[in-house]
Amino acid sequence: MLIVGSKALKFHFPNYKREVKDIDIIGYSDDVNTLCDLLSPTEVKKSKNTVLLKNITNKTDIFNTDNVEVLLADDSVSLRKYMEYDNVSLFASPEVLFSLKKSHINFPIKFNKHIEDYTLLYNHFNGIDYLDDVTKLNFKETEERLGKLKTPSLNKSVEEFFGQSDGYVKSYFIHDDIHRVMSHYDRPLYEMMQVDKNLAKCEKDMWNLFTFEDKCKCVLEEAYVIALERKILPMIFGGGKGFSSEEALDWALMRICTTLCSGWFRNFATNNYYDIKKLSNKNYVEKFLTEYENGNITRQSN
Amino acid sequence: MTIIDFYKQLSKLLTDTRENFLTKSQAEKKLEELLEEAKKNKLDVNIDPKILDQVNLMRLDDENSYRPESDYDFTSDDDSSYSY
Repeated sequence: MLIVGSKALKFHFPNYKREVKDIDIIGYSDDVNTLCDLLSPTEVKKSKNTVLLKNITNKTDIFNTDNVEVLLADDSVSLRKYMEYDNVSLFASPEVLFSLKKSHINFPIKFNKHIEDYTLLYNHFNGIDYLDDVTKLNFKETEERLGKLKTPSLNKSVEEFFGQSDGYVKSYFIHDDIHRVMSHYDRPLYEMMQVDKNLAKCEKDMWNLFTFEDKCKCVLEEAYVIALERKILPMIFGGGKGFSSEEALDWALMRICTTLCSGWFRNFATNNYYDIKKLSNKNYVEKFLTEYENGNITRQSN
Repeated sequence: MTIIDFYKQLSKLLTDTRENFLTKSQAEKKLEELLEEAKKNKLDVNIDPKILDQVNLMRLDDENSYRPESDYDFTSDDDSSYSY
């Protein structure tokens, strides 16, 4: 069996601020029996791919949490490969931890916790994933388990693309107008990546010509628009729920890193999450409202 | 009062309520006054009068706030990566 998750992370990075609440293990069904004998949990919850040992009564120096979760490797090729890679250690290596984290980071589950761990490991390896093939396999197996990670289709006209979210997002302002007033320069950065202005798709070759700072700014422009359009403006103009500007921006960045974007744009946002946040304008809502106040953007007629 | 002043005051009120710097009745009174002021200044706003209720003040939890939106056309194609 192989200890993964925060317990293994703390083992390799003892100064890292991460509380170990539960212990995660990769193991076989036989390992579950061994652990039950050793730890005497009061409850064992089995599901197809995991077994949760609850309320451990015989805690040990290593197994010192209330719960232990076993990710079953019996039917998973990628999990078995991780066990083979680290076959001489009880604790998963940083290489395995990075591969595991990378294969899960774009799934919108406990994102704020995982992005911290991911950034630590990404910086530790300078972004190099030594188990890239296993990462891809684990991602695929995770999709089979949780459902395919779906992002909006981009090979569509602008009208069709934004039509996809009709019924989900009520518009108070025209999307392109929000982009215009929230841009860092005289026009939105996405416009500098479009070959065909009628298609929502942006080009990777043109993105590659951006400086690092402009890439961050491009992600931020997108995040401001998502935060405003989906959280802040519905609160001010549509009787929606109450969010602070920071919460709304965090949510928007989470969506960019998970299910609103894909491929190279999402990878950049995920890999540079904290650098992007550092560049953010904390007063982006005030900036938008100033433009509104000055008549540079007007409400969409209902 | 401009809409910017209004937003700043609303934002502070939300924070103070969430952090329990104000009692529920103090917060409700402040909201009432703020909405009255907005009306007097003919601000084009529409605030839920129950915005200060706990259910409307939920901290963003990524799992709860995530909507799969699975009913519209998606792709997982990695080549088409970004739209604005």
